[in-house]
Amino acid sequence: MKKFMKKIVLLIIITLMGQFLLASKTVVYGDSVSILEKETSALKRANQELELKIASQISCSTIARKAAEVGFIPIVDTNQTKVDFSVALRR
Amino acid sequence: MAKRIKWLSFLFFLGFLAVVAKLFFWQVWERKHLNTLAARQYSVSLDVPTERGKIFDQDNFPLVLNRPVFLLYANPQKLKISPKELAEKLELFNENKKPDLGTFLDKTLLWVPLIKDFGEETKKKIEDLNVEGLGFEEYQKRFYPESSLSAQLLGFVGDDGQGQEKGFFGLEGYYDNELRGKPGWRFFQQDALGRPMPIAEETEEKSVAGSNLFLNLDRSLQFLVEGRLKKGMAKYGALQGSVVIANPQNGAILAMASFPNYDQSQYYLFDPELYRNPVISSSFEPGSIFKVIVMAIGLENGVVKPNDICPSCRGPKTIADYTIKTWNEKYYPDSSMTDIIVHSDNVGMVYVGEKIGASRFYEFLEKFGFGKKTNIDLQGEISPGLRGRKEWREIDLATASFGQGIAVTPIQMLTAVSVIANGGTLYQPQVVKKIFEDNRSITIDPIKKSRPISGKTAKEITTMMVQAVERGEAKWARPEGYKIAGKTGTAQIPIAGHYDPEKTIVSFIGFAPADDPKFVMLVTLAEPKTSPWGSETAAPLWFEIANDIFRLWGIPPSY
Repeated sequence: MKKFMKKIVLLIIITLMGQFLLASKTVVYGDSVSILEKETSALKRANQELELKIASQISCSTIARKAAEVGFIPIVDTNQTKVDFSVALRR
Repeated sequence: MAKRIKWLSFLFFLGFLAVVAKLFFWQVWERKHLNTLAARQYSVSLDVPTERGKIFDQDNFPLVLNRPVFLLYANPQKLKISPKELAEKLELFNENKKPDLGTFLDKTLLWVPLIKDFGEETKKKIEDLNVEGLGFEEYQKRFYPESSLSAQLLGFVGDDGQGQEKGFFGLEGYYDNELRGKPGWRFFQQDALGRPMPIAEETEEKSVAGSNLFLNLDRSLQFLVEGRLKKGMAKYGALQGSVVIANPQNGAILAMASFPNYDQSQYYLFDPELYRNPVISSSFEPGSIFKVIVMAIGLENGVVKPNDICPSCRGPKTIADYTIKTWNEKYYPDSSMTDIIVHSDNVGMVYVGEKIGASRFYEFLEKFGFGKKTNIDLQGEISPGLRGRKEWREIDLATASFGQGIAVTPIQMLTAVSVIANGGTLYQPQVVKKIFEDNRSITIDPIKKSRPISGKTAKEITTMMVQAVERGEAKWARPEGYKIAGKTGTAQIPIAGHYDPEKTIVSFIGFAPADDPKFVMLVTLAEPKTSPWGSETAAPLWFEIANDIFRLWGIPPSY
């Protein structure tokens, strides 16, 4: 009877330890999932911010403004027409 | 002793009954309520928002993106400072608008919105104020890197009246189902610190991101066109102006601009009338640019040939009570069909119209796509109806042959002239080239609708249009060295049953290089002040834009 009781106690201790290990493993796993989710979300946010910044920086309006700031001027119509206003003035 | 034991047993029994009763109360009677309370503690149900699809131009440059923005709200029950103090603290972040203080006095409220649509930087500044009882909600908002570029083509995203996002007008409206995606949800159990518990039940429906659209639109060209159009409208004092450019070989829309327009990110500040894209949603009497279509019908049916001489071009033509004159009251008795196009001769066109006949005229107008929508992939397209086949009086046919008394939309006109440019095929205009969804790409192939004219007719009318540019009224403005096929138009504006004697809609339509057209373009200006003629307003603007295209695409002069 005493031997049996000892076995029962041992079994309970082993089961408790097992439960403890499983629970801690679950918590660690849950923690890493949580951390990964946060990191993924932060990376997505950073990626989105970069996408917005790049798009703003290389937009036509930004390029045109910066080109004007550094002194570029629009191409002169070198192959433009010999302007013959005679017809236009008649209309 | 025995009596005491009995009493004790009875008391134990009562205690046991009380425990059973309490257990019954908790486990049976209150089961539902307690289960709910427990589930609330360890179960989490999250909505997984989806991202609306992005829109890119033909070079994969984003025209429409999403950016995270925040809404600041207050919980009046948790606020530790007075509403006045809060209003003062937030004034800086709210464009100096003070929030409604009355709402903070109502302590039954849990959520009072304060400021919306601000970015991460402002959020941090507000957080630094350390005000208890404030919270943030994050959501996505449309972001336009090119500001209001192609606003009427893109459309905007607004509220559908039930708190959901909805696309309106243009691409946002037409492709709303594809762009909006499908939000998902996630149900899982968490521990005391809010971390997911992987051994517990977890169910999830993944959100489906909205499809991305890749357009035929050329962003650089669109930018140049908008700049030119804005300057042109100021120069000629026009009330409204539109430019639309397509690839005649497949119907791809390369640029589409109209002014006045609006800013999509603040659409609610503008007159809703501006949301409509005039290229697809407004009709006009095309005037002389329509003559090329009528002449093409005549040539296709063999009723006229390019060198035929007009027998009735000596003077004005009288039909019923109406007298039809040329625009400058100059008459050319021995005009060929080519000369009729070059001089934009109304009387000559009446002759061509009569030779075609009303029934055939109607049949070919339908073949060219008039009287029905082009089915361009933009929301808001209209189609002015054609007069019924049997309702054409002699005068109706006569005026329609020079583009008056018939209404078309700019996109219908462009699509019809593309037929001439590409050798006879009517294509459906397409703004979107590719839809990218779920790692799957769907390419939209060009849609051939019909073949109204033969290649031979297309060549003949092209030659006439080249002559119109080289010898016509707008020759002074054309770029040297390029073979351009085009036609000017000056149309009167109908008002209350007659035409306004002063106001006109001027236009120029054409394509280049004439031998191998890379683009077809229509320019329209409403009510120009400097001159009422297309040859002095729309035509020079057309040629300026054409010059830009030659440079942009590296098209060399041919002579």
